[in-house]
Amino acid sequence: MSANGSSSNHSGEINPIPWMTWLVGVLVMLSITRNFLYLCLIVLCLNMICVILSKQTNAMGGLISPFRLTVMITLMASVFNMLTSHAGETRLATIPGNLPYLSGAITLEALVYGCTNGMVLSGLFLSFYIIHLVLPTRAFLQLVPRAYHSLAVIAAIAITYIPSTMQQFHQIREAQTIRGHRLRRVSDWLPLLMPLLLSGLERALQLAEAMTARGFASQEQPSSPVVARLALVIGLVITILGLLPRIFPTSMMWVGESAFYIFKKSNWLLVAGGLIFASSLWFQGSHIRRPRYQGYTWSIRDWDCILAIGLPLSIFALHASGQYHASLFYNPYPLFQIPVFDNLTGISLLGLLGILVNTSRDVP
Amino acid sequence: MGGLLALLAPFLSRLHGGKPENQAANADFSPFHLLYLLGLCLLLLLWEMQRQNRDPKMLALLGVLVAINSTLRFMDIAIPIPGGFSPIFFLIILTGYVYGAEFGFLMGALTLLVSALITGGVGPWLPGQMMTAGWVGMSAPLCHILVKRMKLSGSVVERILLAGFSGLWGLVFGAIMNLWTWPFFIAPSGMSMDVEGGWRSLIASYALFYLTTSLVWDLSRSAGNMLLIWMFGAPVLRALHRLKLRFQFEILTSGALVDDPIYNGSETTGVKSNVS
Amino acid sequence: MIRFQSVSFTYPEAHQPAIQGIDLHIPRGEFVLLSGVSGSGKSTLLRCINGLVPYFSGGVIQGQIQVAGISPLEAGPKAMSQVVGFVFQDPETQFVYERVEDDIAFSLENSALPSVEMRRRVEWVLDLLQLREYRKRRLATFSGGERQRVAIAAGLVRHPQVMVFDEPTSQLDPQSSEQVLQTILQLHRELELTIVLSEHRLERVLPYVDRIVHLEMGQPGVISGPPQTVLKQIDHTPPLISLAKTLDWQPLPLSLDQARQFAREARTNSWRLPLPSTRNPSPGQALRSPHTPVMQICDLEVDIGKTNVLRSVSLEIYPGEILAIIGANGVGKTTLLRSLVGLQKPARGQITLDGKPIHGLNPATICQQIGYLPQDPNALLFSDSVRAEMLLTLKNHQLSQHQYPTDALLEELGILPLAEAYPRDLSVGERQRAALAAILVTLPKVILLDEPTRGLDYLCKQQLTRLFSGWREAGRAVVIVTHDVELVAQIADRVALMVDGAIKTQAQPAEVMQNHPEYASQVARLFPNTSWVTAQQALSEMNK
Repeated sequence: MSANGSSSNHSGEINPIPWMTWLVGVLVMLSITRNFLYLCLIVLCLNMICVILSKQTNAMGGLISPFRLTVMITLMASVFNMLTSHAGETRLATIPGNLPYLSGAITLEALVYGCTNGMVLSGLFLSFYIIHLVLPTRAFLQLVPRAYHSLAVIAAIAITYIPSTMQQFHQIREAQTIRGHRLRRVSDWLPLLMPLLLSGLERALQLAEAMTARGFASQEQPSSPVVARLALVIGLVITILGLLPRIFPTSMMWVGESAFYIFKKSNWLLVAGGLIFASSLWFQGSHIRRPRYQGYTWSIRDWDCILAIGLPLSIFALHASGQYHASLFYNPYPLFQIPVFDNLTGISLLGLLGILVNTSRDVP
Repeated sequence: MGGLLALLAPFLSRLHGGKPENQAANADFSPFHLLYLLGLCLLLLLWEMQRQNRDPKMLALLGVLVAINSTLRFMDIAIPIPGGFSPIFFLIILTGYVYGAEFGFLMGALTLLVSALITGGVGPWLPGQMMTAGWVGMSAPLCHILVKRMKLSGSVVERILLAGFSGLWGLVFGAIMNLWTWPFFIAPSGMSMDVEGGWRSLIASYALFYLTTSLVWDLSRSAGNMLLIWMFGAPVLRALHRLKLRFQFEILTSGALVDDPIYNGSETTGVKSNVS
Repeated sequence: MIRFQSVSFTYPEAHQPAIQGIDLHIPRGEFVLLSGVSGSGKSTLLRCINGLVPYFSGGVIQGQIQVAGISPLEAGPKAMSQVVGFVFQDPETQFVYERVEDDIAFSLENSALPSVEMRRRVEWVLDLLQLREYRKRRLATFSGGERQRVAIAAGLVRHPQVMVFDEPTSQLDPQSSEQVLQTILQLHRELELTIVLSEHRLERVLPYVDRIVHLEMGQPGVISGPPQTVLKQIDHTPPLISLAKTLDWQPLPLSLDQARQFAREARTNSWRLPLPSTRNPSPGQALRSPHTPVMQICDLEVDIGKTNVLRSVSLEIYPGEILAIIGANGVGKTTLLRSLVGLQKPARGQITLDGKPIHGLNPATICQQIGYLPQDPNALLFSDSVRAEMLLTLKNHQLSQHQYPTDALLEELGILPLAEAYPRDLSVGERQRAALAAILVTLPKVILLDEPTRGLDYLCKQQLTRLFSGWREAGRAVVIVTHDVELVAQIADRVALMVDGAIKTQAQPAEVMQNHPEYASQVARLFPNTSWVTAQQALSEMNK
């Protein structure tokens, strides 16, 4: 379950916004760079944060320790890529024969690429896991845009009722045992499942009654104007258009000159599509009243966080256009070489750890 | 209306997911773009599905059922059953079948969301999982139409149909998920496969890929689903139907849900309930 | 404040109205107790106050209702939630959010208040109910009583004028119930709210209520008036009241303190008194001649996790005897019961059934000889009919229906007409008996019951005690774990008091109650230094 390590002072909860900013920053960094040295550093930082936070918050451990998971994913990705992708020039070995995917050279480049992919994936996973360790569920649900308020309530209910469902399951198991039930075949699961389901349905009814008694609105909301709904779809369509040039570069040939123009602007199309979509959602959500009970106060620590993530991010952004372009967009193909590693960038990545500053007040 | 379009778009996105190899080495299509698109499609679908519902009965029912389904999922992790078997689809299909497309979709998507939130296992695979699980639930009422036409409610054939349906989805779920997680593992550039190849070769290569990697996994999921529905489907369906009256749902073809009676304002006459 | 005029209501698909011809007036600021057996329409009446009936339940309603000047029939539950706070029976199914503060705030999110005002109110209610230090804790870690207090807080935060409680303590143990009732009293005193409370255990609140509204099953209308007046017209009352009514004490004492004077006089004078009815079985009539024990527990020690729950428990269970196990919360009573059926493995010690140790046996096997009714019978029932439940148990044990006929048992339990009914649709008392049918179908020699009277009204309790006597006469051993001292006084032959994981005393009820007044029944407390524990006993003794 998510950690309850929030501060006990009156200013309230952990402010989720700097954390979400941090998350977005990490995600952006992960998606931009392919330089495995940088990635290594990022992933190591994330692992360290994970370990420190787990100790601090005493959260329910995941099923596998994050570090092992990282290694597993990276390994899997590299092996997979090695076996299936046969480009590159530094051959390590060769799989003979005519197997559909597998035969061909096993190259170092493929290994490196696979490794990189794996690290990106584990980085993604770790960053979400860190957020999970820190933020209580309620903070998540408050961040949900108002348009999805009903879903947030459903998710909240589900999360609230999971512990009692598990408890009920144990009770049911015992109750069935005392009437002679033994778990021998698959069909013996039915007496365990049915009371659970039936109790669940009955409880849902009671909960609905309690919610109604507390004033939860049960009328249908006024149907949204057609324009807003159309806008959603249009936003989606535009986004897809923005993606098409990336996918069919060759088939753009026959569309002509104007196609090239669109192609160059495809990035903008993506963003535009997303914006239209988002604004339509916002508009449609705006007539759902949801007064915010919890206001967040910003402390100096929160600002430190933003700084901590802003620094590496901005350096990255600079590099994207500047002289160190190559170090970010490193590509192991066709020939493997050690990527360029800019010391400054590397050190700035350590700024990721800055997020730990925000958590030190959680120590009980 | 918007729902139909929303249905189409994700199919496109799925195909796009299969396209990465079709690019030249300098194309910038990365898995993140796919994720972005997927995310938008998912958001759209979620929005459509929950648009009409703010009834506390619905929310409470979904909440509690999602809780039960998530608990089942944990038990699946705790008890090692080989392969991709997951007990969650059983309830997703049956509730979608009884309560409608929107309910089914939300059931599927939210089960995966909530179990990911609880365990902290949020990753790039989550939107894809949510969407596909949602489709499973959303398409279950199709069986209902078939059953009603042939007036087979309550019969063994109904069970067979549902079981077969679940088995099919067991395989298809795996196929779709592969499609979506595949780009994360494969380098978009550097695939020596058919860079200039057309559609057909692409699908062929994907089929091979599927066969070699995840077929076994998916077969166990498929078989598990069928087994669950075959054995437990009848009593569960009875229970769901029984409670349906209490929740006073009415299934129309578009899956709209009708709430219970409204007092007509008169002081001495009665209020009739519109039990379906 | 609350006014009902000729209100009648029928649930959808029901053949008879749930309530009929209700005319009621409750002035502002009164503390009202709503009484009546299960099924007499109490819940329905309560739900009319805030509009849940008919908006949530459906059905046909007639008549007029006014609460604080608004008609719930027109306004609906959403509008009424500002005026009426409602607390339900089940402490587990009233909450949306995991944490205390969040859930209390949920009530406010449905109103149109600005967030500053919301925060102020939440702080106020947390202070009022002393929940401040719990504000960030997860509800799953709370006991039932604490949860009900949070539910009360959630209802209060809207500043209602009326608070309605639908059996708020029936799922709680006595300690928690006391806590909750004290909270309700505090609300009544400090905030001058109008309170409508429905409760089975009348004795808990009688001294404090201003009015009793009684619903008689199957009859239209209500009996409403001050406690003394109404109590004279009700049949099922707490033992103290029954005694007082029979002895015609005037004015009718509502609490032990009020009754003590009368009690003293009654003992010194010898009056001619009406003979007690012989309907109820008198306690202490064990058939216990020197039988051999059917179960023996020797030096049982049980650890759960790292805590030592049972220390060196030794006990014998005899056939044809009703043994009651009492003790404070958490002292290990349920653990003891569970060990008896093998659900809990002991760390040390031995349990034998018919001379053979049960160690290592599958609980399912043991339960063919021992019937165990858990606290929540809902965990058992899922079949399509009561009879199907019984057949399922037989199938589990691989026994045939011909050897263990179901009809006879159903007849004994008094639910033969319900044989084909869907068990989960039955009332609380009927469901309990359906569960008993499922468990007793193998005709076990020993019957264990865990808190069987929780949430039952007096009528159901009477029927249950008759059942217990029947079992005792048939020679079965009955073990009851309970907090209900009146039940113990009524039916137990022997009482085992558990303290700190061990059995401190074993004796007849009268002796235990004399030495441990905190476990004494009302009559025992009223007449200390006697061996009287029930009203019938007192009356018969006084008659001599």
